Amino acid sequence: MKKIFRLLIIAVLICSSLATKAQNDGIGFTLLPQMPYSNYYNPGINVPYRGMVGVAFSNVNAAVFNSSIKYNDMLGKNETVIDGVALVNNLDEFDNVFNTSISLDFANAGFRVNRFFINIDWRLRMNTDLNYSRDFLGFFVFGNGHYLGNDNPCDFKLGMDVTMFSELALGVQAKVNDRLTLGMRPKVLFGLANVSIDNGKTKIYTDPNSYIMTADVDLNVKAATVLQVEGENLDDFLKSMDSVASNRLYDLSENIGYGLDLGASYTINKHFGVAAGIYDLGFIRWTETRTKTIERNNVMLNDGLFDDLDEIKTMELDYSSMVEDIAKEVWGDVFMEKGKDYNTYLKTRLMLQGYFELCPMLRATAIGQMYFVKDQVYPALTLAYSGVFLNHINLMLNCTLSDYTGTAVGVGLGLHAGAFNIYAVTDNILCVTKLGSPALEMTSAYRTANIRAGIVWTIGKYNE
Amino acid sequence: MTVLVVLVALSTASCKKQEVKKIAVDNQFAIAIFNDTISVRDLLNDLDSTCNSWLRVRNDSIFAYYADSVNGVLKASDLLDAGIEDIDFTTVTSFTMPMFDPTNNHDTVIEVEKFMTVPFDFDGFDIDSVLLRKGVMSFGFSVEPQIEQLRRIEIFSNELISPDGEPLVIPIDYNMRDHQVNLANYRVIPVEDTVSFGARITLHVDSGVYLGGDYECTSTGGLTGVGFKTVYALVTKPLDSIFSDNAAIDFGINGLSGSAWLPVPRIHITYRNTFGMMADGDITTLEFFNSRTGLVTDLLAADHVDVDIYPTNGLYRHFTVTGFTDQIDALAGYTRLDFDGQVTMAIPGDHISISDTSSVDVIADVEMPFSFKITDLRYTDTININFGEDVNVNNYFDEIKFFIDYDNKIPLEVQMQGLFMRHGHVIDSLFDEGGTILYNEPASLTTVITDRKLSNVMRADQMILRLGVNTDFQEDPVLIRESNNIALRMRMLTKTTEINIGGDHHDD
Repeated sequence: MKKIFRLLIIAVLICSSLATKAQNDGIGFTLLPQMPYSNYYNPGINVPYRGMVGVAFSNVNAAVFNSSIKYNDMLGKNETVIDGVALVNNLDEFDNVFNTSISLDFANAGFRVNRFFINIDWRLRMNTDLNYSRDFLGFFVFGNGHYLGNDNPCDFKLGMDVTMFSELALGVQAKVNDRLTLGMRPKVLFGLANVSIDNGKTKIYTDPNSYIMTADVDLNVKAATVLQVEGENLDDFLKSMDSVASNRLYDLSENIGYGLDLGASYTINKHFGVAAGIYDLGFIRWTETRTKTIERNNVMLNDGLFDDLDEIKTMELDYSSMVEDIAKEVWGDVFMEKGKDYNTYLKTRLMLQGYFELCPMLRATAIGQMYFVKDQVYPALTLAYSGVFLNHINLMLNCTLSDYTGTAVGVGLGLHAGAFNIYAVTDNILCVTKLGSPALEMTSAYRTANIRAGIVWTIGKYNE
Repeated sequence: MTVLVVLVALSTASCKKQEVKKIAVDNQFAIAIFNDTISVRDLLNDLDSTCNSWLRVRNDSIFAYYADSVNGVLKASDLLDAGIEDIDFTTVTSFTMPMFDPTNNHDTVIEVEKFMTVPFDFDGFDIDSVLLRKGVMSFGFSVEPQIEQLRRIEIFSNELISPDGEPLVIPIDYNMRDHQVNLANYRVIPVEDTVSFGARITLHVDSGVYLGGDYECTSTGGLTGVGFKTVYALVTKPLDSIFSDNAAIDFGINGLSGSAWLPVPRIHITYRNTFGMMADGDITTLEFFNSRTGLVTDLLAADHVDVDIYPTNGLYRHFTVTGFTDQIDALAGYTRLDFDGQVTMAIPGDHISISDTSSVDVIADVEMPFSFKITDLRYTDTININFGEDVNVNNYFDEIKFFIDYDNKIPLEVQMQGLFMRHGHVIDSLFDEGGTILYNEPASLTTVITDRKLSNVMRADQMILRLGVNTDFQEDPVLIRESNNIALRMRMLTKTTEINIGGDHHDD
């Protein structure tokens, strides 16, 4: 278990190095009729069981959103040559995003008491947002030789926001009457790590005559973690992971946050119903933070590989000290300073949905979502079909439309075998066709790719 | 970058490998390699430390110089330290004491002048007086038969003056067989090359008449270790000294060949004369000598150079001698500077005063301004290089263009070429036709390294750097100053259209 945990955390950290505004995250799984997750986003939607239990792999979600890097742009027909030029030219000038989102339910249990359904979730979540400018990749593909002169700097923008936290939620659902169900899910959030990098205004200049490289650096880094990552090699790092897994993951003393999900559902009649909810309203207050702010113009990156003629004569170039010098020139002597406490906010989304159910095999649902991220709103609309066949097989098909993520067709399957339930959902069926493809193709063939799956146990049915 | 790293990581983990062999880019990395203004001063500082022995900078002017110092061409100490030879003497003198009627119970003093003389002469000088730096006089004295009334005997000399200015007086103690006097700082005033001694005898008669008598006085002793401090004398024969000296010289720069001529050297003669009188100098030889080839370059236009060496009161005085050879081959590989001559001090009949610290020092200082007429000076150096043969740069670069931008304010034109060697064989060159750095004309040298040349550079294990220098742009010799400089900027522009990650050459 410890090893599995460790590998999971490593996997999460690796994925975190990728960079979300809005992204699909397997919302269709709430529409599988016999799965006990109808209240996952909206705690006001009725759970049709008297109880449910999920352990370890009851609900695993992994999602990737890649706004700009497209497999077809990169490789085209000749799959042996990556076209770096086309790759970069197809990027947005400043707003390119690579996001990942991962969640894993450690434990999930729910039970019904009269009109109430109470469930407790303990979940590990990780969101990574990486945004970069065209020039960021362009610098490597085109070289600084394409950015010569003061009027043609390389906009070396790279922003990153990585948040890893565990969530302990207590959901309470109350059936007010035959038509109305209300629910709320307060959460306590335990922040494990946060790194926020904003260097939106960093520019690299190359003098066209001397090739001297300078930079106007505008970098703001904030970080906080309960991890005690020490040492320089992988063993030390893995030991640190062990300490997280075995000890500090339960650390309740630092980086505490609070969240809340609210929801309501209303059954209009036998065939129609509507619901509204707010998901992930909350924040984490990071303490014991470190910060680094660099706002310096004309930072010398390279005015000559060699300092004096003797070095040229002997052709002795100390690359490591050269890199260290640049890093020191940019970063300064102090690695990071103790910073003030700061908040990061969950990506709150407002969800409205309505359904029409003709029979158990035919249910149509429309879900409108509004994501609120950093004062901006990103809408998405999901139209879904779901139904139960042979009283055990759950099928869901959906189509999500979003200006940002594009249009994607999703599918979900679930098997309800008594108490045993297993399901798998994706919001983009096309990405499934890429399973087994090379990683490069998997991650760049489509803008979005996600999968959500799990095994969960249910106890008794609850008929309204 | 992070994205790429993760993509690579995921690719590694993927069950199906991407068959990507190349990455197509349109890459130009513009890299500054070197950027500085290098003055002649900087270059001199970087030269081998042996150059400090022949380089001189004064008022921004640079000189190659060689000096040969002959300290103590003429040293008074050599003349005076010997002083006079040790003298031993034994004299027996008979004398008669006359009868006299002394005043009873009183002392009667009888003085005998010049009862003994000691020779005191010094070759080449007729001494008026000498102040002694050292010397000991020993003296023994006895009288036979014994004089019963004798109370005291004193030996004295009016030609030996103590440091207090009093004549020498030696009281005779009968209990001592040998009396010694330290003569340091005594002044000797010899008379006719001798120093005479007298005796002062004190008798005491209690009562009655002293009858007198014949006595025999025996004096023994000597002067030993006498050294002169200052001599006041009449010169009876000339004081002169011949000197012959040489100084090793070495430019300390190897790998030079061709033709470089230095203009007429400037020769400074520096001397110090503390004799207090003028001396005559005669320089008979001043020449560069190549001990390997036997080549001699005479720096003296005439057979000899006469130099008046005035008293300098302890200071150094110098003057520039003109009239020497036209120009000097800067590359002749001279190994020695020979310097011969003679100094003559005083002539017979002169009255002089010389101290044993007096001397004449002479320094010949051959100073050649860094002023050249160079038609084809070549410098060759071999540099070991290793760019890493295992790295196939063709997988990454289509071409590398090197630029050398310069603004040369050093009055030299330099032709550059680098030959890339492998196992002792030339496999390529840096410039196709060589590059020339012009004087006072800012420009750039460019060389484009592509394909085969790129491979050859990477394979090379040595680079032979050849520099050719000339001053053909100017008729007159150019004068190089310490502040002359060259603004040098080296940069390169790499071009890449494909990065081969499949291991095959992109041209394949």
